[in-house]
Amino acid sequence: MSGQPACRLARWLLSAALATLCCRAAAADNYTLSLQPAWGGHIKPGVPSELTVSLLATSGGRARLTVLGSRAEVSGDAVFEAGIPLQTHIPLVHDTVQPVAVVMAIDGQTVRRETQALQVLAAASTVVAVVNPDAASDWPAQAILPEDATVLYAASDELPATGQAYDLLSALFMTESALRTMTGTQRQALEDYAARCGLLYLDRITTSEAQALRAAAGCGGRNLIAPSLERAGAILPEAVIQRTTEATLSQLLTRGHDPVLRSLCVFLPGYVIVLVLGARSARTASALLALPPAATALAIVAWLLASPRVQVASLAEMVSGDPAARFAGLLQVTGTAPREIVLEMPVQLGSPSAQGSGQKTQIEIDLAQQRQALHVDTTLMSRHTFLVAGIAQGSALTLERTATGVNITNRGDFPSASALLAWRGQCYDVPGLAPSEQWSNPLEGRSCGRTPADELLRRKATDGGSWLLLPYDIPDLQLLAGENDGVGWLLIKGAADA
Amino acid sequence: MHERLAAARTGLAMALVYTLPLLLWLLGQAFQSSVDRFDLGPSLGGMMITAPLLQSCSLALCLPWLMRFPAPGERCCAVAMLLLVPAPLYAVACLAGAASPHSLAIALLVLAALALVLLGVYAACLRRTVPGQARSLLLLCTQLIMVGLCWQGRDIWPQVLSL
Repeated sequence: MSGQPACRLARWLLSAALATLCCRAAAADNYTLSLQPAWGGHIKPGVPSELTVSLLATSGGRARLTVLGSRAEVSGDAVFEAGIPLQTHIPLVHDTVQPVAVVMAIDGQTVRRETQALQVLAAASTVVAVVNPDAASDWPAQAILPEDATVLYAASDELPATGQAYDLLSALFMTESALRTMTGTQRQALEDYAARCGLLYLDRITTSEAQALRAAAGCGGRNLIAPSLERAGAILPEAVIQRTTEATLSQLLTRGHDPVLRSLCVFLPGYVIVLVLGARSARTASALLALPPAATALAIVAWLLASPRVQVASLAEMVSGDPAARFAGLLQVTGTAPREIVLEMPVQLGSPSAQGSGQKTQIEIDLAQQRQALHVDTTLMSRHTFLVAGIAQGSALTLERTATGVNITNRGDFPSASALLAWRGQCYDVPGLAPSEQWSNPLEGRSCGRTPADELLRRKATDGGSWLLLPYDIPDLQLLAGENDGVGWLLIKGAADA
Repeated sequence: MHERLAAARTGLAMALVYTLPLLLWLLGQAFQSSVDRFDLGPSLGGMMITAPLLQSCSLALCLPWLMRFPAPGERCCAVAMLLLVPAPLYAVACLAGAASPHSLAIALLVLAALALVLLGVYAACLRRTVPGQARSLLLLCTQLIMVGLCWQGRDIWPQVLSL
């Protein structure tokens, strides 16, 4: 009789274990996770791309999606409903052929893991995308492309939902029919691409729509080419936009005191001096022995209490009269102690691209694309650098070449900041202009100075054109920086030069 | 008391000999450009590997000199100063993420134990049994072997410290 309860208990335990296993198996089967990288999984090292994650579940809930294997670990919470597909777009910056993995976790338990292989293209390669290739068969693409160009084909519903994901391309070919089948976010991303002077060929498009698109595009709309407006010429790869590099932006950073450098320069020599003086004046051995631990404790407390330094620098570029300017920004975090810093970044800045190697970063994104937070693990003397890019409003200042010289006009409603003009190899100081005020025909120029801004202008002005440089903050970016640690400039290319 | 202070002063002088180059190197790194400074962590790791090595060498080389101090308390003061002077560098390494406090503590304990063992061996055996000149020669050989072992083991130190 005594064996019966034991047998019953064993049976009960076995059935409970089986039920648990079945529940887990059933739960795992409840979720379908699929991945769709932008441009068929083609990427360039360090160039932002996009991964579309589709999730279908038989029951509603909240899950955490994490992208592993890329430069930064990107994660975000997804809220889904039973039977309703959820599609979300996650920014991705990757370097290698190693696949990226997307992990779906509920209450800390991994329920799905999918990997996605990527194809890495050479950083300098020319990449052209053709949307809806059947409809685009009459494109003069072969006639105007370099021989070694990589041509990617994409359906209009596969186009990215973020403007940054277009950074891979040197040019995009599409028809009006593709334009019409795009979603709102895809259309916005395409307009961002055009606003950043991306090369866009639009076939079978009405003149009015082409003109409307061109008016909103960057570089005066010259990189938006439609046969209804004119016939395309052999313009690749000259029209490919030169991106602002990290080196250029680093030179613009404010050079004020570095908290770590200053503390090291004070502390280390001071420590040696104190030791030498202490050895001479100490009366007991214990007093001398206490000096190194005391100095160490003091230094540790000072470094732990010191705030990390966050610096930003941005450079926006536009052609005079453009409605939008494309900008590149650099965010640099200098650490003073081991701690995690969280920087709230508006999505308008795009996905931050971590520079350098060996420093992993976490990006927490709101999958509704409303906000993102950058988690940076700092240490003493650590330096994390991130690049961002986006579109900003163009300046109201216009720069035109006239028969007799240059003419700068403030077409806005507010006074402009004083600026610097580079023209005929010389620099000219342009005073702040009141609304509608003009400034023209400078009499005396001067050699461009040695400041980072002057150097930047001098390099640009080597093409013989006229360039105007003025302070220009990207508000979303400047908010991240500490006091006096943000600097931003806008370069305006003269209209006639463009 | 004055003898201990004198021993500590001498230990300080010995420690400064190998600490000063590291301090200067660290300052030099701090002045590096942004790209070079980016790799400071691993470099500091290298420095921390060098620091115990240098300490081992210093301990080994100064043992005969330490034996000049007759009292154990004096010897301890000198050895303690020798170990404590580079403490700020250990703090920098820990805060910079190049070494963990755990691994540094292990390294320091190993060094202290090594010093004690050597002092013990010297005091207990060599001093009583071996004649003066042979004792010095034997000690010098031991020191050279130790320095060689430390140098040979420089690639193993990272694994040992990361345990």
